[in-house]
Amino acid sequence: MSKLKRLGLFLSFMLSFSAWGGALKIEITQGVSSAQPIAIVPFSSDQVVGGVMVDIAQVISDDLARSGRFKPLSRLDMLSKPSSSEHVNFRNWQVLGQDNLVVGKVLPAIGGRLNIQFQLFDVYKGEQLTGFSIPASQSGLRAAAHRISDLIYEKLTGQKGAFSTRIAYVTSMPGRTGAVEYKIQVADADGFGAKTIVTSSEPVMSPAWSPRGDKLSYVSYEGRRSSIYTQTLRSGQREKLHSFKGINGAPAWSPDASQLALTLSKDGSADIYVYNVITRSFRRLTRSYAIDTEPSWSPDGRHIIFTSDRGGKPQIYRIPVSGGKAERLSFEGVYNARASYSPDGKRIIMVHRINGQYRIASLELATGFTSILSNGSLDESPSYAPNGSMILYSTSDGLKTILAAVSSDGKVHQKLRLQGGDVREPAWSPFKQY
Amino acid sequence: MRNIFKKHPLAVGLSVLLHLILVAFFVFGVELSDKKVVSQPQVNIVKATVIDASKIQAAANKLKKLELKKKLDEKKRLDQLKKKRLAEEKKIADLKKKSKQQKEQIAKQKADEAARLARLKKQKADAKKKADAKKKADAKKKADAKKKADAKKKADAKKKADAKKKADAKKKADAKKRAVAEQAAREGALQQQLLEEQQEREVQAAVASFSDLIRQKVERNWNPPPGDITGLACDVRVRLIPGGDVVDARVIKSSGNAFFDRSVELATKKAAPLPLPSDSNMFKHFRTLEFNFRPGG
Amino acid sequence: MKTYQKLLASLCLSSALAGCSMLGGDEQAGGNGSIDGTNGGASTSGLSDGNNFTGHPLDNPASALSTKVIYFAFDSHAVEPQYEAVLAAHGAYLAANAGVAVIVEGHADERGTREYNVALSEKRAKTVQNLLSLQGASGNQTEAVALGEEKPVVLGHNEESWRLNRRVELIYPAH
Repeated sequence: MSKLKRLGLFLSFMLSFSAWGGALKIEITQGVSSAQPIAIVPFSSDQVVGGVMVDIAQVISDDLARSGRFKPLSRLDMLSKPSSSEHVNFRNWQVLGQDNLVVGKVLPAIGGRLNIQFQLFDVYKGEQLTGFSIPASQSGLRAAAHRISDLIYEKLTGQKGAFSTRIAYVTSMPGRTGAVEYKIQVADADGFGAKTIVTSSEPVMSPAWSPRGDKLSYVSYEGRRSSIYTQTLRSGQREKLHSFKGINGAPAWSPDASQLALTLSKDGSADIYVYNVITRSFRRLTRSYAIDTEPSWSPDGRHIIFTSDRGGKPQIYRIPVSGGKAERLSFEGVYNARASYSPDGKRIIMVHRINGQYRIASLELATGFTSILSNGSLDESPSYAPNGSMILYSTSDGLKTILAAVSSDGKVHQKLRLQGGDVREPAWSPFKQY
Repeated sequence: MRNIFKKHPLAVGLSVLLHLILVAFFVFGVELSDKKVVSQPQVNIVKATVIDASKIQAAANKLKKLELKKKLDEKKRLDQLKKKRLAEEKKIADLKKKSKQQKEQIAKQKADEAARLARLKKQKADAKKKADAKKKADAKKKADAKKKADAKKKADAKKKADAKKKADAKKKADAKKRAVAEQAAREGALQQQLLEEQQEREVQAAVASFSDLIRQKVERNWNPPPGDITGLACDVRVRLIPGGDVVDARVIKSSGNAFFDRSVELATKKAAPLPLPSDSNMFKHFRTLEFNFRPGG
Repeated sequence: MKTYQKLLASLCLSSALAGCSMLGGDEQAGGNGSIDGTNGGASTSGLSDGNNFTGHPLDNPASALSTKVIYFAFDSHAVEPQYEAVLAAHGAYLAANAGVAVIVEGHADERGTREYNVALSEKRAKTVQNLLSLQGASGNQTEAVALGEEKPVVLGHNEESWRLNRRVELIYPAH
């Protein structure tokens, strides 16, 4: 080859790979979706006289882990434990493969109160992503920790955190007399701080949160018949809805808190009725000789979905709140019941029987595509977190019933062991109203 | 004279020969048929002389004398004649002899002549031959010469041709050599080119192979955000240092989703050090990388 | 087991109150034969066949009335033939005793969703209620209550447990 030609080739070769020409392009089409690594260093509190009674970093760590979106680093693996940015050596966290780092400290504030400061860092960029100073009392440390979890979660996922929410659930276990005691309890979303709001010697069921989270409606068999109660949580005061002969069940609040959908069988078979909270009047919504029950509102308040076996077996139907024709939504499998909408209104979750097993399934309304989320045999009572990220449900654990959680994409599973006895029918509260 | 001889050697020769023969005949007579020798005096064409009376008397006397003489002479003559006859006989004999000799001689001569003739002929022939030969030789010589010349010419020509050929051959050979050399050079160059192309291919193959390794490592380290991300696209430009460490990574084309962008930036950083060929000459191909994240392909 | 405990308690109580029974003392074997019922809190029963049963008819083991639980097939609210006699007896009993009230308590096994099971158990209860009415019980004597799966008698994730939980109980509160 002539020299000129060679030179030309060399140059073009160089140019194609030079830094100022085009770079070597590499296409990436897939990754491995998994929980984000995050290191949450124990918060220092040595400046607080007497210390603090809550391990804030642990609460945050547990929150983020439970969401299924994060994988907190074990403290045993931490090479250092900084509490503020000036002591942070990002290299120490890069070698551990930690994308994110949280450091914090608890400082004393006026009047015996406390101030929690925290910072969230991008380890590979070596920059702070967010940081806050949160006032709290000793008794409110857990709540403050959950607030920090919310802030971190939002920053790293773009989604609103649901760590400051609560859950209501039913427990039953033998009481002091040996007879079974039924309770409804309300606890933090992580199961801590459970408070009993009602105890009965007869069954209680179907807890339902009001949209502002200030009230809980439920079904009680006190007096051996079912009735619906609405209880104000703060005061413990409750009001009994007018009870009818037959079934009074499955209360569900409308998103604007003006109405309650419920099941009554006073006119023959179980049907859906809508109760106006203000006027205290009942309006019949479904008319069929079949069982219509388990109503749930769409986020826009315009539709109600419910379980009906008018086709022979229980399936999910949807009806306009104003009344009209019910249309069937579920077509997979012979048994679909207890449906509820996702917060964004795009999906419904329900109990779905497959091969004799009862599992939580998700139905995408736009496509009709159904996917199984849980993997037990007696899974029921699914309840969405208000940010749509997770679903709580009950499952059997041996002879007991416990609560479990699954991420909304079905990938991350957890079991919650809250306490002794059976725990069932979880109901996730709406976002905390500040 | 010589020219005539030269010109007509044969004719002249023959003429001389014949004259000599004639002379010989006259000189020595030739017994052609019998022995009788008519001896004739050799007719000489002499001139006759007139005789006178006195002379007759003289002559008579003479004659007498003469007769006597004659007698005597006759006798003498007879003697002479005898003698002559003897001599003639002798002569004849001699002549015979001579003629024999002559004959022989003639024969000899003839023979000689013949021989000579033959010789001459031979000579002539020889000469001819010679001449011929000469001619031939000349011709040959000429031919030879010509041939030679021709040959020479030919040879020359050949030589020339050869030379030319040689030269040509040489030229050709040279040319061939040159061509070969050129060919070799070309081949060499071609081989060089092929080698370079091969090297280039090997380089490209190595680049492709390591690109694949890099891709796999980045994919292993990419934790995309959950949810539907197909259709999103983000480009990250990364600068490496030898050894594969990342010294700079920045998004040059955002997907519009900040969490997606962050996940791809993290992927390129966490995948460091990126696998690079150990040959430091190859580094230049990897100094700047551009990752195109296109989930779902 | 509460229902049976109640029944047992009732049995004991009724034995103790045998003297106050509205039913004739002639049917009581042994004992004091007193009509007004006050007999010191004890009563005795002889070991005889049903024809000589001296307890409450609802407790007579030889009588169909002693059966107060009927069972159902999975996902069904149809009364199986074997229980028709039982319901006939109870129906007749109610018809004959207008003052007696019965709670027809329907139940379901644990499978499926809870509120749907309440409705399913109500169908069972209502079926039984209808059959009792057919036998002559009046509407205000029977009340159908649906408990769904909330009060199982047996805990267990197997066919046997489920079978025992799919039931309707006839609860005579005054008994």
